[in-house]
This record gives sequence, C-alpha cells and structure tokens, in this order.
Amino acid sequence: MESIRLPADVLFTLGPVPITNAMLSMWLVTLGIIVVAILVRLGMRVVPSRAQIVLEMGIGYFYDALTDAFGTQKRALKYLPFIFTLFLMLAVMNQFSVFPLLTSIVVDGDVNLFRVATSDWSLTLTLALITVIGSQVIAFVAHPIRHIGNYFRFHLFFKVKTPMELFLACIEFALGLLDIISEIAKVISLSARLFGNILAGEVLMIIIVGLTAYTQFILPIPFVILSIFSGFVQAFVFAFLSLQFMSGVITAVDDAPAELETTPDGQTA
Amino acid sequence: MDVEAAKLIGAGLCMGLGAIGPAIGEGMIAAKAMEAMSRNPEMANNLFTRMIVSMAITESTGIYALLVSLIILFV
Repeated sequence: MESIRLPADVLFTLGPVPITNAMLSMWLVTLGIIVVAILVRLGMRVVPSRAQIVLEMGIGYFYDALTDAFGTQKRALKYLPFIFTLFLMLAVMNQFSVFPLLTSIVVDGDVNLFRVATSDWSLTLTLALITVIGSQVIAFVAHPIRHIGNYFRFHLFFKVKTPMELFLACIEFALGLLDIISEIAKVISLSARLFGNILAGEVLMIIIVGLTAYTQFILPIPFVILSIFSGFVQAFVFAFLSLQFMSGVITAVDDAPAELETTPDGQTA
Repeated sequence: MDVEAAKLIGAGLCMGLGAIGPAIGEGMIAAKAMEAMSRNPEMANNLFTRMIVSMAITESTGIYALLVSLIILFV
C-alpha cells in the first residue's frame, strides 16, 4: 500500500528554502493558468471562443456575488481578481490527481515528484492567512479607529444612562472580544476544511486501491467522480467563504451604521 | 492496553462519533433546501449555491474529527 504522509516531501533545498513536491505542482498549475489566461486574452474577440465564454461566465458569476456581498460595483471590481484567482487556482489544483501520469512520477525510491498541493496544510493555511490578515489590514488602513472599535467596544460605555444599559454594554463588549477569537477560528476552519476534504479523497483512493488486487480497476471510478465533484465544490466554497469573511470585515467599517459613528472618546465623528 | 491499540481505537471512535453530527446537519439542510426549491422553483439556482456553502460549513466539524484522527494516526 502506498504510504500516507501528512507533510509534503522535501525534494531539494534552494539555499535555506526547502522545495517540496507540493510547491512544485503548485508552480506547474500556476504556470498553466497563466499560459491559458494569456492565450485567452490574446484571442479575445467580440464573438467569443469557447474558453472565453467559460471564463466570462465564471467572472460574471463571481462579479454578481461580490456585488451582492460588498454593496457597490466599484468595491466588487476591486476584490474580484483576488477571489476569482483563488477559485481558479484551487479548482485546477484539486483536480491535479486526474491529470494522467503526473502524480505517478517517483524520484528517490518512494518520493512523488508531484503531489496535490491542497492536501498539504501549508498551502491552505497560507491562503486562509492571506484572506483573514489581508481583510484586517485593508479595514485597518481605511478606518483605523472604527475598525479597532468594532472589536474593543469602549464607545458603548459612554452612552450608558441606566444600570440595565451598563449590563447590556458589558455583554456587547464581551461579544466584541469574542469576535477576535472568531477571526482566529476562521483561519483554522477555512484552511482545515479544504485540506481535510482533499486529503480525505486522496486517503480514500489509496485505501481502496490498496485493499486487494481486484479493487484496483473498476471499483475506484465512483470515488474518483466523487472526489472530482468535491474538489470543485471545495474550491467554490473556499472562494465564497473568503469573499464573505472579507466583505464582513471591510463593509463593517466602510458603511458603519449611525451608532458606530462615535469614536472611542465619545465624540461624534 | 497497548499504546498503539489505544491509538487505533481512538482514531476510529473519533471519526465514527464525529461523523454523526455533520450527517444529521447536512441531511436537515438538504431536506429544507429541497422543500424550499419545490415551493419556489425559480429560486432553485440561488438556493442551490447557498445550500452547498452551508453544507460545507456544517461539514467542518466532521473535517475536524477527520483531522484529529489523522493526527492520532500519523503524527
């Protein structure tokens, strides 16, 4: 039975940086996407080719979803490249094991030259960190005081008039602190979801193929189809959830409701 | 009991018990989404994407269980 390894295997080191097989396959996919994008861009016409139709459909779909989430088309256009790149990259990467022969190339005895990069936690964790930290930084740069005020809600205490309102303000303040924990939990859940799904597909395939000599041929086909489907769904879900997380943080400071307009020192902004 | 045996039992129990919750949750989401789609067929496309996203969120506890059992087995 082929062994199951959680960390990616190091192929060689480039100075202090270890190059793993997951990185190599990610570079291959990135290169492929760039080449396809350039080809489609060069062949762009008013009467579209097939590839252009498919890409335009995807971009249009995400553009509509972003417009819904962010409120304005101007802001949607600003974040569309990031979200759609995430989707394209993950959708191609999750199907990497379907490309013939590539994942079967073996170097140094038992190390695969290419590996589905999303079954390595490093990639998904990096993407989740980029999403969450990026949205925090964008919101902080846009409105620093209001953004911090969303988490440390001191401004509520300046409006307290009765004991009951003090009690409610304490609860609101604690909820604001809990939001900080939920930001950290977003990183873990977003990355673990993609990683776990893709790795589970890989492990399932290895177990079924390694079960007996007879289960190598026809039996894995339904599971291959299932993992292709779940690969697309997970890429879509990752892009959609990072869209929701980003829009939640960014629109909270950009069009804040009237009660959040007060700065922490009690003056109305 | 042997440590290896305890690890195997723990991993199996973790995955088996952890799969109960997401299964119930996803079933409820699918049932409600089907109900809504059949009541309001022109909203079906819109509802389908929402159903997929909420299923993926529901699934995350199952994925956590999978992660824990993988960590028990391989780390």
